[in-house]
Amino acid sequence: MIDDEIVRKAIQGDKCAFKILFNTYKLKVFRTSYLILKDKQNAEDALQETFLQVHLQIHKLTNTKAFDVWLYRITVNTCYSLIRKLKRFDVISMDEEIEHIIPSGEVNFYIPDDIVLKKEMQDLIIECIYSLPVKGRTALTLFYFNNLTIKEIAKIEACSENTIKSRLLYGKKIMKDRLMKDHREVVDYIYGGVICES
Amino acid sequence: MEVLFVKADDAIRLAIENETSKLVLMDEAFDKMLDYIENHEEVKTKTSKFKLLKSINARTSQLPIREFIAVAAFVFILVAVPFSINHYNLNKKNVENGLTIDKTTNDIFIRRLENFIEDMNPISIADAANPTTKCETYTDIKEIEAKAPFSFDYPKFIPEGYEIYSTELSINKRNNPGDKAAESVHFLVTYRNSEGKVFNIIQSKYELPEYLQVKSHQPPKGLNCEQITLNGLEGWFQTDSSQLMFWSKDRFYNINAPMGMDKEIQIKIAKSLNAISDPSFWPTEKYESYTAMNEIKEKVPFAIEFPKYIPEGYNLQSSNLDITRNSSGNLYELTLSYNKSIGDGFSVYIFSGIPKPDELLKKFNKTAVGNSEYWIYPSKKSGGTNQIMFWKNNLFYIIFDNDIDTMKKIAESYLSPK
Repeated sequence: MIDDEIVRKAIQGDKCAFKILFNTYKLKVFRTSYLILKDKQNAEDALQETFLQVHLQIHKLTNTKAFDVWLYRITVNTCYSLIRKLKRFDVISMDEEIEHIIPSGEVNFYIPDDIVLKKEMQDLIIECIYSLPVKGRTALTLFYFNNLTIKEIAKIEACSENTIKSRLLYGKKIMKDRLMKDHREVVDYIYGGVICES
Repeated sequence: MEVLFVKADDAIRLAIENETSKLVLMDEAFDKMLDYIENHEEVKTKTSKFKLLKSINARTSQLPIREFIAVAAFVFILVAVPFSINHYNLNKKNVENGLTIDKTTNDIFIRRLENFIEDMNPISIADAANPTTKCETYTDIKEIEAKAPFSFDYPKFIPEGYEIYSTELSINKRNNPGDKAAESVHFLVTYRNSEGKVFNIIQSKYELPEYLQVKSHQPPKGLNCEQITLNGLEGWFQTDSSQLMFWSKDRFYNINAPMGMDKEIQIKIAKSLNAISDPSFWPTEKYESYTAMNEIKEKVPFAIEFPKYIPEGYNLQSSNLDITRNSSGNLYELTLSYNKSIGDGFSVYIFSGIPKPDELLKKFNKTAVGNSEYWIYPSKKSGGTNQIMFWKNNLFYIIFDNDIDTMKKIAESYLSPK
C-alpha cells in the first residue's frame, strides 16, 4: 500500500507525489488492464486513461486510505468503457449469464504441485480465465492478482458480495471442469487421477 | 511417492503471476504517458485551483533529480522497512516477568505492531514529499562537499561515453522533534552520455541504523526483483525498472537507469564502488519458517492454544511459524488461518518473545472479560480488516476478521474462565 502522505500530497496537486503514485502503480494497473482486456495495446491505452482520470479526479478523493480501491475502480471502469467502444462484449449480458449459471456454493479443489508447476497447466488456467465473461474475469483478476477482498470488489463493481462470490465460483468451476476434462491424461499418467475435491 | 497438493487458489495466483510477469513496457513508454497526463489540457484547467500550491512546489520539482530521490526513498521504504520490521535485532537487556528490552528495540516492535494494526506502513522517511520534514538542497559541488556528512563513493567503472552531468545533495530533517519521520541524507550523481541517456547513483543514509541492519531472504514485496551479490553485499535488481539496490556497512545504494541499461553493466558499476561488506555490522540472526503443524508444535516453546470458539463452517486452513533467532533470544510469530470459503476467513497471530505493548494498547478500546481484557481496533480503511488484541501467558494475540462480533467471541473463548 502507498504511503498515506503521498496520496494526500497528490490530492493537493503535488506533481512529485503524483509521479510516485504513477511509478508505484503503473505496472499493476497495466497488468490488471491486460488481464481484463486480453490485449497489450488496449491495456496501454487503459493505463494512460486510468491515470489521466486519477489526475483529473484525485482532488475528489476524500479517504486517502482507500486509494487502492479507488484506483482499481477507475481501472475497471476504464477497461469496461474500452470494451464497450470496441464492442467486443456486451458487459451486462455476460454478467447476467454468470449469475444464472452458477448457484451459490463452494468449489474447492487441490492439484498435485508437480502439475501446477508445469507450464501446460498454468497456460490452461490462464486460458480458462481468458475464456470467462468479462465480469468473471475481472472478479478473478481483482481477487487473485490485486489481492482485493470480496467486499472491496463488490464496491468496485457496485454489486453485492454474493454476486462477486458467484463470479469467483463460476471461474473456479470452469477451471475445475477443464482440468478434469483436458488434463485428465496428465493427471492419470502421473498420479492416477488425483485432482482432489474438498 | 509422496504427493504434495496445491490449493486451486494458489495455483490460480501462480499462473496469473507468471502470465503477467512477462508483460512489461519500456520506460520511455511510461515517461511519454506521464508527460501526456501531466500536460493534458483538461488537467491544466481542472487543477487550476492548485495553481498556487503548484507554484510553490514547482521550485522543488524543477529538477528531475529530486524526483529520483523521492522515488529512491520510497523504494527504500518498500525494500528495507519490511525487512527491518520483520527481522529486527532483538537487543534484550534482561528478562523478567515477560521481557524488558531497550528503547530502540521497543520502538521498532511498536512500529511492527502499528504496521499490523494500521494495515499500512506507518514509518515515514523524511524526504521532499513528506510535509513533516524540511529539506535542504545543494547542487554546487563545493557546497555539497562542505555540507555533506559523508563523502560520495564514486565508481571506478563508468560505461564508455558517460560523464558526470549533475550532482545534488538533499538533507531532510524533521520539522518538529515530535515528528515521526526518520531523518535522511541523499547524495545523487547523474551521469549522461552524448545521446542524452542517463544513469543515477544515489547514496543514502538514514537516521535509524537498524534500517540498514537487514538481510533479505525474500524479494521485496510489490517489486519484481531478483537477488544479487556484489563483493559480498546482498542486494536486489528490480527487473522492470533497471534499478539496483544494495546496502553496505553505512549506506543504502541505488543505481537506476530511467532509460534502461543492461543489468550486467549496472552490476559492473556497482562492483567498482568501494561499498564493502562488514560481517560484524550485520545481525547474526537466523530465520526459520515452518508450515506443518506437527513441526510447529515441536518448535514453539509454548503450548499452542487454539480458539475454543470457531464460527460454524470454518476450519483451520493453514498455519505458519516464523522464528527469528539471535544470541539474546528468539522471536516466534505463529499464524493460524481459518477459512470457510473464498474471502471468508479469520486469522489468529500469536507472538512470543516480545514485551506487552502497554503504551500502544492505550490507544484502543478496552473490554474486560472476567479478570482479563482485550483491545479492539476497528479498521479505518474502507473494507479493511478489524483487529482484536490481548495478552495471555506472556503471549500477544491479534485476531483479524471483518466481523467484530465474531472476533469478540473468538477472543473471549481464549480469555473466559473455563
